[in-house]
Amino acid sequence: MAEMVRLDGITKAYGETVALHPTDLSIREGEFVTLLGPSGSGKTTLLNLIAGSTAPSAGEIWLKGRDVTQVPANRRELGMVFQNYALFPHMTVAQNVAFPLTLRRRPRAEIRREVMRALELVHLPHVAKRKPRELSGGQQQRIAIARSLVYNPSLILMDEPLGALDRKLREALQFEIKKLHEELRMTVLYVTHDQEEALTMSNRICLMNEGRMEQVAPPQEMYFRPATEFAAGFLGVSNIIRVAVEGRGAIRVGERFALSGVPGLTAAPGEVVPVMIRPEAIRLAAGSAAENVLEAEVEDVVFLGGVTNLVVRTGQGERFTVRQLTRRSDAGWQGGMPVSLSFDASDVVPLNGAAPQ
Amino acid sequence: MARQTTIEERVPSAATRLIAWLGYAFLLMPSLVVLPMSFGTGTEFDFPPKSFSLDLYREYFSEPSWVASTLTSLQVAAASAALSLLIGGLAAYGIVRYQFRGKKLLTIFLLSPMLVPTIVVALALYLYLGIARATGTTWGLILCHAVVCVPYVIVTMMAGLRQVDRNLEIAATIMGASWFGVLTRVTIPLLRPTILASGLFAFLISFDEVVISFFVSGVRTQTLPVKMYSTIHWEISPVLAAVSSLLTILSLGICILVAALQKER
Ligand SMILES: Nc1ncnc2c1ncn2[C@@H]1O[C@H](COP(=O)(O)OP(=O)(O)O)[C@@H](O)[C@H]1O
Ligand SMILES: [Mg+2]
Repeated sequence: MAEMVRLDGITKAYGETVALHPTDLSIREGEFVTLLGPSGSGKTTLLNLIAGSTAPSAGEIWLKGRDVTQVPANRRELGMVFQNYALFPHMTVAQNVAFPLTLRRRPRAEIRREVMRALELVHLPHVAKRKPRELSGGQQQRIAIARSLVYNPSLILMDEPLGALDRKLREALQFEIKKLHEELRMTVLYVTHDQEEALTMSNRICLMNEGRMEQVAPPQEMYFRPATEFAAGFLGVSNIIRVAVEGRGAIRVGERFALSGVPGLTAAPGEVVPVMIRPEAIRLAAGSAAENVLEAEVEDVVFLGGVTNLVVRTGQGERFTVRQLTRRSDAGWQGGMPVSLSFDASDVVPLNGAAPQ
Repeated sequence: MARQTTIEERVPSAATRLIAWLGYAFLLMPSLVVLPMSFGTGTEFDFPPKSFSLDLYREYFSEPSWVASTLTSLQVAAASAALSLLIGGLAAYGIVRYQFRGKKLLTIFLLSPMLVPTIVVALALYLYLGIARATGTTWGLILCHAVVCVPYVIVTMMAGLRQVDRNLEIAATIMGASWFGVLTRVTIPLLRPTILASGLFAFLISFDEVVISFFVSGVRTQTLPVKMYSTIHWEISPVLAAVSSLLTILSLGICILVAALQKER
């Protein structure tokens, strides 16, 4: 599919502080890409650079094959949804949604038709005559979304649009935005600091950290093959340990536990590298009789209903979080119990860029 | 929080309230005396009036020189309010919305007529109009009043503009609005109460202004306050009570209107 956005070494510095280090990114038409990262990681900065409300310090921005780096914000034909809705308080809902069409001097009848169609898309045609302040937060954001798509902009930017809403409403709107994206084949660049939101909504996630793109990957890959310690730690629960490389794809985890055939391990023998194992990939057995296992002791047991989380501690003092499906036949894990851990080589994820891109 | 606010601290004591009311009473006294006097009769001020009549008001409205100076004042106040809204509004917009070198200095310069003693401003304007050969002209008076009104407009408009959410302007721009489109479709409509309030204030300042007008107005451009002032000098006519009452009511009306506008926001 055609390329919608291309960033070429785009950079933003405010005096001494670099808000965004040189960044490259390409977004295809119809893609839903999410910028995920902690507060202050440069997500809003990147969005504002694309929107044109901030000028870059260096680099180029291409939209639909056109260099728009010098094009003012009002000529970029983009849509944007803000966290605080940014609806015009002096206009009715219908006037708000009509605003971009009025600017484009569309015929009256067409404006009326398009506004109603957009309001129906967000299930709010009945509030057309009201003022924004008479609506709930969720309704206001739906109106803002309707306003951002009514003029079919080539790209819609959303900066933490659900950040001000409570959890239930957030989930409902996540679903609706996702549905609109699929039905209307919009290209969306979405910003959030909520990893679940990013995982459920995106075609691809750009993980941001301290003004840099840490990793760009589809949600599944981002979760199962994080490239860096930051990525592994930011998404889900992870165990990050340091292991000695013994050969090609071979590592030693503990005295009695070695694995071979670890995928994507590029470090040379003798090196000590960080790797990640997800809590659900670890097998746990009582006692310590078995061959090729890691001996440990149960420190803590947290029963969560369907799953049980255990914290275990190995002889070397490393802590692992282990997640197990709860079974009624379980003898019941208890603190102080000796246990043995094991996992498959395919579940070991080498970090710090060692994973294949 | 450094410390807890106790009930005693929030509710003013009886003594404080008494002082406050005495202060109000002192400030209100002249108006309260003048109002009953304006309904008196005859050729002398008398308080309390012995009988009630509208004679003084009738006299005011039938005397051509009073009517002429009132019209001059209204005309000058309306024009200088409009002019200072334009100048002050643009200045406030530039100061609040843009970063540039010398911004602090420019702000102080623009507000300086508010900081310099009125008599100094009056003398300066008198000399200036003399050079420009504009002494005694209506437009000269309008310009002079605008000089005094502009700082007030700037201060209120700056406060109003800071209240306007930048994101609304950015949102409008991204949807395709030009700078002018944002200004006319978003910023100005949102500022409407502020614009009206500062316009009314400017009108009132100009309408009440006496020191500068005294220096620069001529025989044919005598404003109402100047006419009142010279009346005191030549003949202490009780018509003044009626004029003062009307002025007080006008000021009160405008203040109530401004307060209502503030509430609307
Ligand atoms: N106008 C500005 N002036 C100075 N520093 C800024 C400005 N805007 C953002 N920054 C800095 O840039 C960094 C990234 O900010 P931002 O893009 O808002 O992060 P995020 O949206 O991921 O929370 C932060 O360190 C922030 O302090
Ligand atoms: Mg942000």
